[in-house]
Amino acid sequence: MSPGGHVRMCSSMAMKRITGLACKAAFVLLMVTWSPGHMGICLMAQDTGTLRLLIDPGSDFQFVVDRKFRLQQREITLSAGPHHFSFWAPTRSIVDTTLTVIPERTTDFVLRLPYSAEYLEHRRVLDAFIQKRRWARTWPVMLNVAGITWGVISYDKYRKAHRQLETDLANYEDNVVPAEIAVLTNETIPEHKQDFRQARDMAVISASFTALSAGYTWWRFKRTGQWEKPVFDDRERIRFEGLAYLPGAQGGHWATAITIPLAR
Amino acid sequence: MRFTLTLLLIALLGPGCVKDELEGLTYNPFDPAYDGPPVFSLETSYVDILTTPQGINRRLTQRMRMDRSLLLRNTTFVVQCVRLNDGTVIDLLSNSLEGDLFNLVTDFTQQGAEYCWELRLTNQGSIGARNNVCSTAD
Repeated sequence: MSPGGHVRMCSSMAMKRITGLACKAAFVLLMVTWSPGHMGICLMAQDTGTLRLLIDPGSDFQFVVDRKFRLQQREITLSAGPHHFSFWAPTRSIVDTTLTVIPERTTDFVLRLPYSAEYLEHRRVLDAFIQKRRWARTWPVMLNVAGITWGVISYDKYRKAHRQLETDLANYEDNVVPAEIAVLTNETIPEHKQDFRQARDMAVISASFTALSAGYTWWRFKRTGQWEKPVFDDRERIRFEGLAYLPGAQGGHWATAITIPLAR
Repeated sequence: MRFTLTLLLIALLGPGCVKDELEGLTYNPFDPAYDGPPVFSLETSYVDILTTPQGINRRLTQRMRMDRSLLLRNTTFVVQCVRLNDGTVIDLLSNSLEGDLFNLVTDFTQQGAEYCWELRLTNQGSIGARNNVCSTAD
């Protein structure tokens, strides 16, 4: 159990459920087992106050109290007076501040953690990556759609030309006027045959183009799927946690940071 | 994928057969370029010897047969008969034919001479199939 857990248990359980002797026993136990810092936190005499932390993002922020205890909760009871806080959340910058706890009062503290510069840069790079990949995938798809449209139109013309020749054939067999048959065989049918040949060639070309563009689209999707996606390197987390595992495309790595307080 | 390719091939090659059918369009007897079996043929011919004021007339009768089975549909038509010896033209309406047969007569023929007719299948003033029919006046 984390120190923060003890603090919460001490403040809430002791104040609400444990009465009298039980609370004193718990208090003595904490005094024996934990450091003097905790002793200060768990004091529930008249010189303690509560801070209600209203932090954005509300779900997964963390904070370090007095440069010692890392906690993850929305409310904390501390001894009265100034306390140093370092707030942090994934993708956000660390915010260091000093909060003064007012005795026997619950004080709201509202803070919106700003996005870290690394995260903003990562978002920019990621957006550029997504945009680039989207374009790389969109135009082959558009090409393919154009090919399919062309193929459908060509095939429709091909079928119409075919139907026209069938009509001409029926007309030839049905016609009993030599002059009309002469026009049909010498002019009309050759023209329609030429149309048919063109429509057939166009249908073959468009079908080939569609097949090629479909193959290219598939290959393009496969290729762009292998592009390395930018991974967010959360430097603020390293600074906050000291040692952090950073997942990456190659399996991730452990990272740490050392802070040397030169001001002291 | 294979199914789609098969469908594509059938769709492309199937209509292609029509092209071959349209290559030899010369089987309608009303087509001026008709080159099928002869529509007209000689059934029989004989010579009648007649005595006339002008003298003895060797009348050659050529009995012609028209093969109606070659017509792609029943219709009316005109058989135009051109005597090649002197260019005489005779038009016979289809409803005047006795079935498939009709007679063509040539007067004052010479014995042993050949007499030919160009028989034309016509309709609305234009000529379709035609072929020559000849026989010798014995």
